[in-house]
Amino acid sequence: MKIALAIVVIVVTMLAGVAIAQESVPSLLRIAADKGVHQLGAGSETIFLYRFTRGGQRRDALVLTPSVTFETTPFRAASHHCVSLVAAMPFTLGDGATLSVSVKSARQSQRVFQLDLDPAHVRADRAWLPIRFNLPAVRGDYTIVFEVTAGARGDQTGDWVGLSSGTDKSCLFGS
Amino acid sequence: MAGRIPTWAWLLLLQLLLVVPFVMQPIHMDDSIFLDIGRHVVKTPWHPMDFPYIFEGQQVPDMASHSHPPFTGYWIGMLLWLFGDGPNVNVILHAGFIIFPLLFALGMYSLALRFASTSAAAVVAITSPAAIVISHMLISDYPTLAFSTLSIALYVNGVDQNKPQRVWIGGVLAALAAFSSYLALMTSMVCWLYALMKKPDMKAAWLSPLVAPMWMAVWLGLSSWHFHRFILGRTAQYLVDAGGFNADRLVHKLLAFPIFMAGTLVLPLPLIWLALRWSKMLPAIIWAPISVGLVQMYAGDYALKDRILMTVLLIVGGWILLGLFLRVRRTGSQDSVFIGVWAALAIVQILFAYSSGMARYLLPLLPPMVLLTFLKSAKPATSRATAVLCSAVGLLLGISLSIADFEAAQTNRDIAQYLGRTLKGWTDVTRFGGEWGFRHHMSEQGFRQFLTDGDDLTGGTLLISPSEAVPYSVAQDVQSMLVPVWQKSWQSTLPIRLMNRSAHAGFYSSSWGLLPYSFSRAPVEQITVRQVSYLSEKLPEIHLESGEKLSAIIPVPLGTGGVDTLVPIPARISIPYDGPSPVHVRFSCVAAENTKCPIRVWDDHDSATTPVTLHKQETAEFYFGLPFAVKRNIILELGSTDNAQSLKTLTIRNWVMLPLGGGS
Repeated sequence: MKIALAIVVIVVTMLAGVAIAQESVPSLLRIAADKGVHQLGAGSETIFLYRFTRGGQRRDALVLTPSVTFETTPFRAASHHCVSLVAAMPFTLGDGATLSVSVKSARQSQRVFQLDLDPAHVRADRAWLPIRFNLPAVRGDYTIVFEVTAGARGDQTGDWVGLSSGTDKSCLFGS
Repeated sequence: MAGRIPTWAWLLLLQLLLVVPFVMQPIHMDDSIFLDIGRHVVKTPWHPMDFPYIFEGQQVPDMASHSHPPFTGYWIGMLLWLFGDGPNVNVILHAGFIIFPLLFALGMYSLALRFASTSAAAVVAITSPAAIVISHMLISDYPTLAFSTLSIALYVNGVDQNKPQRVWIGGVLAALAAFSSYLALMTSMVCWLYALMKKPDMKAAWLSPLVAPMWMAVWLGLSSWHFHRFILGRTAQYLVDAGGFNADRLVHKLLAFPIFMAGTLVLPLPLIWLALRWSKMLPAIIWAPISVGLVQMYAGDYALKDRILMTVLLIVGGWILLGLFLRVRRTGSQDSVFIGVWAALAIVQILFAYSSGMARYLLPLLPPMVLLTFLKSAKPATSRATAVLCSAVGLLLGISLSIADFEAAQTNRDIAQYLGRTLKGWTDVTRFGGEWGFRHHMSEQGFRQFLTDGDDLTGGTLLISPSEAVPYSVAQDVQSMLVPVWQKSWQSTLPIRLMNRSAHAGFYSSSWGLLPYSFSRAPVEQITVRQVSYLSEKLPEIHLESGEKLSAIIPVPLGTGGVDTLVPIPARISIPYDGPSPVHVRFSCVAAENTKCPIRVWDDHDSATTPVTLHKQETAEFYFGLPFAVKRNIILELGSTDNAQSLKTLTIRNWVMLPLGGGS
């Protein structure tokens, strides 16, 4: 009887622990809001929260413009093994932009993902594109850094890249 | 009695005179929603609200959570089933709705005989400007008013005369009122209030008001079971999302209420007189500068004439409310308390159950307002002459507003017919985003709506947006590719506006303006036609041949609205086109100063490539026409003139593809 009770307590504790662990990782938008990123206002912001539609889907997104980086709050090493997001550019203008993602720890900064988006010239880019990449093994806490640069021809017209929660729940930022 | 003809017959005759001349009114405002429900009733009468709908650019899976239950839809469905649908559907339906103003007149006549000093009070009620205008609509407000007024009239009469049959009929009518508008459940409360005061020894008096809530509980239960959700949940959510309960909106409604009441409901001269005489006119006088201040604070940007009208209405509205209060307090009779509570219930409903102020929302207040104005037990009793004066003012204003509203309804039909003619053959590549009669008439012309978040707006699609009739917003991805085509305004003969943002007139919703109507010559409606840029949206399919390795066609937004397409030169561009034809292509060519536009156009279809003459229209505007072809490539040779050799890029500004004649 006591053993059964102990097993139940352990299982419940583990489940609660998993639940708490999952809940303790906020979404990318929450992290951005906590870091003082606001909804798009006057239009002069370089990084902001913005709700927009792509491919018939309206989503809240963290939007980055060229030459701006966004660094998350630190995560514990090995808390997640992958990142799941969706990305899209709100406008069908210009020559596209490039999204780069790096993982930064105390010792090093490592580029882990790059995505070229050009909705004006590539029809497939006129949608929310799923992004999933594995996180490298790092020691200690790490942050994830997002950066947007202009397209191949250097044109910065409409170079807004929006990021929103991905679909893989087992990954960081997945929901 | 007037001669041998009874008074009620005169009343019905007057009511007919106010309604019949307007049976030709085109489908207008929210008529279209109820007509759509009615059309669905004919198909599936057991599930009148179970059909998808596009409202304000959003698609909803069903209409179950519409703000009104389906009586009006059923009534329209019955008329369509009996008399058929078709181009004259507006006449059939308006004729079929005449019954409701007549029922209201009878109900008011009965209540006036019981509570008012003169039966002419009923005339004052039916000549209310709001009632006259709304009696020409195919919406649920007048059926609700008619059923609830007649219900209370029969109930009161039945209790007074100890006639259970009348009381039960009153109960059934209250259920019909509630089946027209959820808020008309108030009718049962008013009936119970009367029973509480009179304490009748009649079971029917206590049980008959139960018919309405029981009927509505059954309706809500069955509907919620069918749709697997409590259907009023989304209705409440819409009200909350529309800001119905936030502080700013409450202040807005508090301000709109007296303005709209004084401007459209009725001119209760005895109540105004009562307010003016109270406390040596002091409160009435103090209210005047307060009104001026409020108007300045909330409508400081309105034109002076609009602010003056608003101030006058606000002052008079305040006096009317004060007069109502004083009438109940001073008379102190059972009748005045009964009608006073009835009025208070109506006012609470007006202020809290809607997201904005509207003339038609005031209608539940009309019967108690008129009855308090001409209350029999008031001293001194109000004369018939006063009633005639009040009616005359109402009649003049009501008919003027009705004519202006008729013209507005006609305008929307004219617009749709105009667009149907000018875009003939192009309806499949044209979408519109608007509500009201505009929506109905555009659909009748074969046009389809677009969705705010739709992803099916391809290059070359023409988007038609009204300025007044709830223009749908366009998602930013499509917005970034829109090119202006043309804009056109429509006028009317009468300089009265009922729904106009620039004139601040919001008869059907104070969100358009804090005035119920405005004296203005602002356009009744303004239509903007834009096109999803063919060159931007189809860019992935457009083939570019250029010597430069990294060269590309780059679409960039134009500050004044539109799209500039930057193209490298020299180059050859092949644009595939399988849209409607013949087609008229118009664009501006922005090259270096004093340089000829270095473009040559070729039409490649049916295995033949022929040169196309490029015409110059204005300084930098060019156009060319292409004959009928199912499929073709439009080839642009750029940099084909000698003096363009120094240019590296060329801007093609606002390339639009239209029917021959330019679509306007």
